[in-house]
Amino acid sequence: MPCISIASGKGGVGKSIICANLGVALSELGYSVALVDADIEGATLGLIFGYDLEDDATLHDYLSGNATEEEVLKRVSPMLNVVFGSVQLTALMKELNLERLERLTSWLKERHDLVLIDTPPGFEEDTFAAIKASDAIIIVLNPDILSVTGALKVRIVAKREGKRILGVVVNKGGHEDDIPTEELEAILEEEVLAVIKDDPMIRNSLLEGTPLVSAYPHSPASQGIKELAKKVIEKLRHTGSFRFRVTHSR
Amino acid sequence: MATIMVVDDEEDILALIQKILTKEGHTVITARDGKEALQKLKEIKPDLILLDIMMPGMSGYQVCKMIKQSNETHSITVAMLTAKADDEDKIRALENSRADWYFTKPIDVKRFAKRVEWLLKNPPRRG
Repeated sequence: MPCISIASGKGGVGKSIICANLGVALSELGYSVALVDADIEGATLGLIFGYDLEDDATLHDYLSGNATEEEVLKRVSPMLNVVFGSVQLTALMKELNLERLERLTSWLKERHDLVLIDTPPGFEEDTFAAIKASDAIIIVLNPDILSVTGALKVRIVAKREGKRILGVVVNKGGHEDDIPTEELEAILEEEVLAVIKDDPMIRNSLLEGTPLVSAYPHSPASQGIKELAKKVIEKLRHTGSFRFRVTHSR
Repeated sequence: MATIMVVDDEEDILALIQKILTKEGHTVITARDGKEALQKLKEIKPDLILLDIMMPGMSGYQVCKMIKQSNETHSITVAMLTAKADDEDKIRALENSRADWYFTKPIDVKRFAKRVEWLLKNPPRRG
């Protein structure tokens, strides 16, 4: 089933928060979802889900050949599994074979309705590996110029790799003086799937170690992410190029 | 109402943009190339500059960079207005030349005045 890279180009736009919460929202719609924290040097899904990964096998162990697919997959709720990344410096010092990422996502795709990859920011080898391992891309940006150029760079890589972009998510938006949606769509030549409002509850959910959509389901950003989840399903259903099977739909 | 400078070597484009913007009550200053634009900027400080990229002499990228590097003109909002529509061109303009926005030609005549209003009121944050 489709594997989607959640990518940004520019760091700090809130890509991991969108990825984690989109995963939760999709699972709450009845889809089985796997998340992969492929942000090799800045893994944050453990923090977002409140997991202390000290003794657990992580993506880093899998990429270095020291763990199997089953060992790195953690069930966080009945419909949501996560492959966390390590936050330990020693994990980064291991020799990581990034080509194994594609093997992992193939294995996950056979067992889930959707796989989401939290893709590293920037344009290093790990970013390319994540994009290569995916079938499609969702770009996350903030309403500012450097986020826009980051998104344009992701578009260049996506074109080069022959990957389809499903659309763009504007995070930390909703201000009156933000770049209008139609201007973003004109410059990026991509559809804006959702505008996620700047929401102070995101900080609280991080402190609590519970994804926003679960901790504060009625907050403005949660509502936006839930709408985004529905939009993503709609886009996938209307895209003939994906084999999108619903195995666990309510 | 604002003062807007339009820099383009095509007379048709200058005339069209001038017509759209003067109808909205703006004052429009025109320049046919980068040299003329920089010369006029010594006397006049517009609220917005609409700048073509492919012009004789200096390119729009160079002109924008010079405007943004000068203490006298760096705070003026500059938007590219060009037929070049590749992602690489947009990145070059917005990052290297520090343009504030990027419009591609051909323009939608009905919507263009509204787009300019937005840029005059809320120039985008850099990041």
